Amino acid sequence: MSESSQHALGFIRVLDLSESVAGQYCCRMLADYGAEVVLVEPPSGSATRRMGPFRDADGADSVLFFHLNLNKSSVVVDQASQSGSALLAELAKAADVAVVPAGFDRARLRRANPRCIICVVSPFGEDGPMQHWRGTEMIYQAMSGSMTHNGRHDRPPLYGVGQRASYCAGVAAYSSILSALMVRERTGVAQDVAIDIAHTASSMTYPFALQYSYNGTFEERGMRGQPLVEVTTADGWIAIWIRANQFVPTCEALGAPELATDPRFATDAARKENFPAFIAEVQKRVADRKGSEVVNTLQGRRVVAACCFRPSQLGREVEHLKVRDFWQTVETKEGPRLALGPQFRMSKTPRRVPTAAPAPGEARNGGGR
Amino acid sequence: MHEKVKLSPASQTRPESSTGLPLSGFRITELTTAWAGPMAGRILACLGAEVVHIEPANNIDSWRSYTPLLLPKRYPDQQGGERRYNRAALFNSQNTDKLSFSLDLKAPGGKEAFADLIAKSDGLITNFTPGMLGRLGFSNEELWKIKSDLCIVEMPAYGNSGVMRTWTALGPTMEQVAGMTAIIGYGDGRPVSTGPAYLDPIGAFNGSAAMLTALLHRQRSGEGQHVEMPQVEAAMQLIGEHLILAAETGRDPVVNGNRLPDAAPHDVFPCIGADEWVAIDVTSDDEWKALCRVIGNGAMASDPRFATAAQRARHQDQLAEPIAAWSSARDKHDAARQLQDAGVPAAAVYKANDTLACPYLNARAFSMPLDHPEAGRHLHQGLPYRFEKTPVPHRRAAPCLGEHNHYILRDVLGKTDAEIADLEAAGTIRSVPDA
Repeated sequence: MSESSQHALGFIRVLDLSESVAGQYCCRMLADYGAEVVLVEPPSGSATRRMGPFRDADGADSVLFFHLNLNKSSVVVDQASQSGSALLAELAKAADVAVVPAGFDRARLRRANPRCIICVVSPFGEDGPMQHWRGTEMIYQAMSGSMTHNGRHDRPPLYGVGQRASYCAGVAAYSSILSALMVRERTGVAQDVAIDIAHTASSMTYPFALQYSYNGTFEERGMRGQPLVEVTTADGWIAIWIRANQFVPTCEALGAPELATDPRFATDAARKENFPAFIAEVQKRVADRKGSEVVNTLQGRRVVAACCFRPSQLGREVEHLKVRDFWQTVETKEGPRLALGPQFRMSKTPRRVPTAAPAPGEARNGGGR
Repeated sequence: MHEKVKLSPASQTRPESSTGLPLSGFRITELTTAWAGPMAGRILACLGAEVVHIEPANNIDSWRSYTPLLLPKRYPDQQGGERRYNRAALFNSQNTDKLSFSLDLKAPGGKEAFADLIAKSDGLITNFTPGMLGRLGFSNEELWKIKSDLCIVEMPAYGNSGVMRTWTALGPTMEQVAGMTAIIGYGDGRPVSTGPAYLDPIGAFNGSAAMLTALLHRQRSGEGQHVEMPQVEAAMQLIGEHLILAAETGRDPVVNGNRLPDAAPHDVFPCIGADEWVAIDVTSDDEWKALCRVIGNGAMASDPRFATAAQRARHQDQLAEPIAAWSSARDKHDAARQLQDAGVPAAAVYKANDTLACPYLNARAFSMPLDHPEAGRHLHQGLPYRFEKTPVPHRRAAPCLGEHNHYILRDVLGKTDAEIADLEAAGTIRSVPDA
């Protein structure tokens, strides 16, 4: 079997003209599941090459770029020049999919290839009242309705680290493209699709807005009365979610059966009222214990509990990920580097073994297509 | 008709099928609960699939359930009412465009009806702990005996192998394992979990993407397959650059509220009203100069302490003061608009009412009025997919429990009225949950 048919998307060619985290992650997923993806870079190099975090102090080696562009090849195109324009048209002729930013001259691609599915990935879209707004992760989180719920009641709202809204918009763009490919396979008709990052972020919010439509009530930050206990142990933080019908086994697994009969906590209502006192009691009992042992004991009673892993632990210590062979090694010119394993594991059409992110103008290295 | 058929309490409806949508003609069976799994199914339903959400009456979807701590805010007019399971905002938000089939697989005839439905399905999606399907007698191999090209997407928390395979999980604990909680905080060393359980929608976007990948391959090759989509591993991708760097160096990201080590201001500033904020994110010197112009502070623009991003990051407290003084006298929306019009990334920190009123989201028809027979007409929040030729508007509100039992059994599976009555009599399909 040729490699292209081992992978679900081995039959498509993609031009990544997106110049954004969201667009490049979308194309990374397309490449992971088999597409031949060409990252089209301006002569100055893709913008994400200059975005952190960086591997070295002088900002020359972007880990973000590495993560977003595994499995791709690169072509440098000066789209403003005549030769660049001709090269782009040539590339477009062979492309099934192109991912572009807002304002990109889609007609140029469409003329070169009417069968190309063009996906616009942008902060606020190409139309609508905020098309000129600038977006970054904190801006998306703020407008999504999620940020107001992150953090303590007596402190400002927190946005969260990273570029999660952009990444999720990338996943949504991936799904849009696959949907459009399914339509094109059936009908022969190609179409344009669009994903806004701000729109995606709003769709990721807990249904507070429907609740508001239902009865005009708000939830306030840090006041949801969630049955979530977060406490620190000898080797890190752990979290315990106490379901109403699991209070007794939770106390028993914590080695504190007396808490189950303590009048401050004995009923749902009392427990809600005195939840900070309950957390303090739990904190006292786990402070000197190993977090993983506490969590293991709780899970033994089917209580929802977990360790709060630091990023460095996930890469080096977490046994579960080792057993699952999650981390993968990518050969690069500088030697082997770590990459994350698959988003999802397909039994018949597995994800590609990742190859290094390309240098500007570099063909995809490693095993063929 | 052999005997008089007794109708179940929920009125039975027959849905119109979608046409001209990307997944028109596909049927997805969904064995899910809560948020991630149902939202994955909602995405596929929005894209045009006929999605059948199986939810037995003796173990209804947890987002239909009565939760003492949360009542009564989750119901229309804060009233649960007689059939509160049909009026829950949580369930009704994540099950638009779907059908409800209240089949109890463990009751007489339940497994047979499920097998019949699988035979008529293109995909099956689940978000229970691994092994649930096998324990019910429906391992992958058994499922493929019934429907050889079935696409099966499982959405376990931690995966189908490894020591954490059997662990129970929810969004708020999965985000801890994924490394996200540890890198959010006020800088005092205490991790902060997201208020709204951010892992669930991430799982939904990835789970539906997994199903689409399998369905596209099946459309081309005729081959079905199994897809394992561990929600934690999919979510780790979203902070992948930080995880890779930490794995390589052993160093974790610096956590300091909304502030970044290399750009400033990157924070929220108070506005008029209680707990009202505007988020402002300045990276470039041009954005900084524009910010100074907007707040009318020429001295700050020429202050050498703020000349570069690195210097601004070192003097965050000093620059925060004049910005907060400006924002405190302004409405958060006005402040954000003024800054964005000048080229400064900024946004009001939205609350639920802001979402409903947002001109941008309204231009995208994000909040759509849908009529629900028991919850009334309300604004339901949609999904970001936009297609030029096959638009995907939401079509109908979430189903009542068991609303489509008869449609599925009669129209899809070809059961007779007598057979349906038998299943109702045996309690295999009920439309009233256990207390």
